Amino acid sequence: MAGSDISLKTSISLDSITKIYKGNTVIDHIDLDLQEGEFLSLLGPSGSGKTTILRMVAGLVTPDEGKVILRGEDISFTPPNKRNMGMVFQQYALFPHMTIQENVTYGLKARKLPKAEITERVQKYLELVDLKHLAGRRPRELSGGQQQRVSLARALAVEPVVLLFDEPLSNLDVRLKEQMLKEIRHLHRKLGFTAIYVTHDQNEALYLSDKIAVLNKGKIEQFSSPEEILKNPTSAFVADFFGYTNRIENVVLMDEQTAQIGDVKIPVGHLGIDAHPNDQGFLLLRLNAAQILDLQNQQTFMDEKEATAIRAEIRDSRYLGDETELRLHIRDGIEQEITVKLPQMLTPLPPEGMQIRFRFQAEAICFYKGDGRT
Amino acid sequence: MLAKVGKTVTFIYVTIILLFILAPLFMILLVSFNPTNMFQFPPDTFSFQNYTQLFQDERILSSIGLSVFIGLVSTIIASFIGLFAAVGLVRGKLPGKNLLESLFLGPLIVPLVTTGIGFLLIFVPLGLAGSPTAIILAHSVVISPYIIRILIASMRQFDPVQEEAAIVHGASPLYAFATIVFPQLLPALLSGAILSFLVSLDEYTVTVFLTQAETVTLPIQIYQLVSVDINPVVTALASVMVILAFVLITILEKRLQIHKYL
Amino acid sequence: MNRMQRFYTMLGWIAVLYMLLMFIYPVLKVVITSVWVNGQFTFDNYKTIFSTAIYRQVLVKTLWISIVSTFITLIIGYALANFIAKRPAKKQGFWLMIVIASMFMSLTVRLFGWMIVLGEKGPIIQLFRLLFGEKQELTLMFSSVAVIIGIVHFVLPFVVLNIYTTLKKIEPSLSEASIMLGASPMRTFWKVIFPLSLPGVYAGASLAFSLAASTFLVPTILGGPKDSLMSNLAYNSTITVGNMGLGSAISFVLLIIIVAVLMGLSALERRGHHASESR
Ligand SMILES: Nc1ncnc2c1ncn2[C@@H]1O[C@H](COP(=O)(O)OP(=O)(O)O)[C@@H](O)[C@H]1O
Ligand SMILES: [Mg+2]
Repeated sequence: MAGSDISLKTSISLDSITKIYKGNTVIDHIDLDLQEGEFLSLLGPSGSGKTTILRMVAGLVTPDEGKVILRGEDISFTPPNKRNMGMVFQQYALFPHMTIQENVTYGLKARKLPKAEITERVQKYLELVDLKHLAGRRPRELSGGQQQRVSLARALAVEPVVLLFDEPLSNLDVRLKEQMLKEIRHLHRKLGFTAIYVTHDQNEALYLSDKIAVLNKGKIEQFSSPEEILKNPTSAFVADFFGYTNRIENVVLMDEQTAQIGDVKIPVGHLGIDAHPNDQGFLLLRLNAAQILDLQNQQTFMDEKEATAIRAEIRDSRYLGDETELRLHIRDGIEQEITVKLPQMLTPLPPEGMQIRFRFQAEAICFYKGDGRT
Repeated sequence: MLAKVGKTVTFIYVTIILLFILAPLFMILLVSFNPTNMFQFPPDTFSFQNYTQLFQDERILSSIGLSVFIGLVSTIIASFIGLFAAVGLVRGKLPGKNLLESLFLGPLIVPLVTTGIGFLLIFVPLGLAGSPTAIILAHSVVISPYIIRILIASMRQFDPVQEEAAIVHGASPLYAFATIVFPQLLPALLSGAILSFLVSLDEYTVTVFLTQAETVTLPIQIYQLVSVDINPVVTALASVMVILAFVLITILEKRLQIHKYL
Repeated sequence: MNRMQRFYTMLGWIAVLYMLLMFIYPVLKVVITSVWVNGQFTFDNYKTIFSTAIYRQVLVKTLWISIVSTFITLIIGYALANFIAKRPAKKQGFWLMIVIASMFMSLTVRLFGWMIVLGEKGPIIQLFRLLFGEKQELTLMFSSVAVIIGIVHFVLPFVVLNIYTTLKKIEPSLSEASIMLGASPMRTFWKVIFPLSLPGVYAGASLAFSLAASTFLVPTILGGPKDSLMSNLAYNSTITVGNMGLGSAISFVLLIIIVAVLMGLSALERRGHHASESR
């Protein structure tokens, strides 16, 4: 991971933490452990409670139950200004009446550090985020990306025990977002800080994190490494979040590797929690779940060479950048629609009504028990 | 054709209204150069005598001194009250905020004679009637709504996330208030304070209940000099006040667009 | 954030306490003094006000002078506010400055100016004599007319600002749409702009009435002996005559009248609002 000086010590733990607003349990007995130097993402849709958790870690919100433990010490009731944290806000939250330099200095002055140290640190972090040349400007004279870098420098400058991010990139355009993502990852590699990063964008979480906690309605659905989550989403909610956007209903699990619908057998790469053979359930498929075998005209498309090939009719097709997206109506007794993406530009664009054959790719398919609508 | 008539009509009525607003002020400036009869139009003499005498008139100078003193102290008190009221109303957890807002703006609604008699009633038993202290306390109440209204508007525009940023990065609430909130409220506070100061300088109705021979404030002095023992020096004084008020308001409007808060 | 909120709450309470002590307490003291005569609870002071002819006359005079001044101010104020709001953005600042300057300009000084303008040797009477000959009699000072002029001058800037603010909030596209649909500018004004500006008119009217009804200085400087209003009466009773109870009662009646008119105006506004909604 980060530097070798980071031993595997627990930095921050949430112990059965709970928040109730007007009778609504917004955060429901959440446990989390984060090692020193780890980068954790809290991922979930809007309203799932990400910000509330982050604010409880920061001390801006007091939990109704449970504990926040920092390096073995219960800080649940420590005021926020005594927790030594840093935070990067979605709306930047820079101080408009201060220069960039004064903004970055703010936390150090509040701590009454010696002047020499303040100067040294501010220089260091302004340089790290490449803003030294703008030190005398005011926030409103800077672009959104630059403002967010100031915000990052202000948080880094206090050398926080945990660095908190609340959707820091959601106000930036796509190109800036990419650039900032790289910068945050680079800084994390270089400085080895411990971070909690709130986002609703799975790509940000996948790119930055050592661990991802997927949140749904105030509960953690899954807490594991990005690879594990991608490969094996333990619930339909998580799968949906990570690109398993297609759904095939009314499926029965035959064995650990196969599901069946009508007469058709579909290979399955992963199983949700508690899924056993003979269970009734549904499949979630990524956009790369179909490997197209041939694109032919209806007339010549007759013989069936491959036993596992499935027939489908194209309902819609379009280019997405240099990829092609097809909406397929699956035949062979399944009669359901899925959307697939091919990594090349098909020329010409296959017309509506065209018949094709494809094969399911097991690693892009998960089986879940039940109907997934609880 | 019709549009042209409309324009002419507009021009005429706006000119009349403008004349109506400015006529008394111009008149004062005009007669201030006439040391013989200030009610004479057009003036029959021209000299700066009123202005030179203005700075020798003991009574006027002491009234100015007293009024400026009362204005400054009561504005400072009203500024604190206004600041506390605004942050409490906008961001605090106070019961019945609508009612409290009426309480703070109440001095604008309750007739000044009512408040004036009230102050007289509470200050007499305390032995404060006629003292600068009584006038200062009374003014602080009467002028505070001007500050409170501006500060409430300004505080509503302030984004609380800045406070959170300050506190997370190590500021105590007091430090955050002093370094983040207060500096950003300062322009509004200053303009409210200047307006309040002007109101205090001109406060007549409440003051007249509390004044005594040794506490003759500026407006009471002016009234004396225009109605009782008539003295043309007052025209110079009034002219200076007209010009001062114009300059202050021009600065405030150019800098802060105060009309948005009034 | 709880600690920041607690901090603000504490400051808020300090302000509330100050106002309770320095504003509510004196006003309450006025009420008590008006009904507590020689250690006894009595409405005698109020009975005196409503049964004495002179006091009743002052009451009536206060009402009609306030109402007349309010109407005049609303008309002049609306015309000026509408004119300012239609100016190019850059020129509005100049007009607003004049309005605000006259608002915070010393009222004592302004009324003094009117004394000269309306005076025996002032420009208006001089001009009148020039036109109609020396023999014609015209007096302006120390009359109800002078008082009304003074009140209008005093209240006008408040009304202009209130109406201007609501006029500025009306979407310009509304009147453009109306004119594009073929309505004349006149019709557009009365059917679109004016109804939308009513909140400002009501706010201006409330302010104008309460300032006019409670004015003390305007009749003191511009009015004659017959032009005393409620405030002057209250002052005379307390300070000149030394009857605190009666003075308190008069000033409290004035307060009640103002509050009643304000409530009436706001009820009227709400009714008008509902009527236009259901239309
Ligand atoms: N101060 C509050 N008062 C009442 N409800 C709140 C408050 N803060 C958050 N909530 C509620 O808690 C839930 C989670 O909010 P939040 O943590 O902001 O979610 P997220 O950051 O994931 O979008 C939402 O339903 C929100 O309405
Ligand atoms: Mg959030």
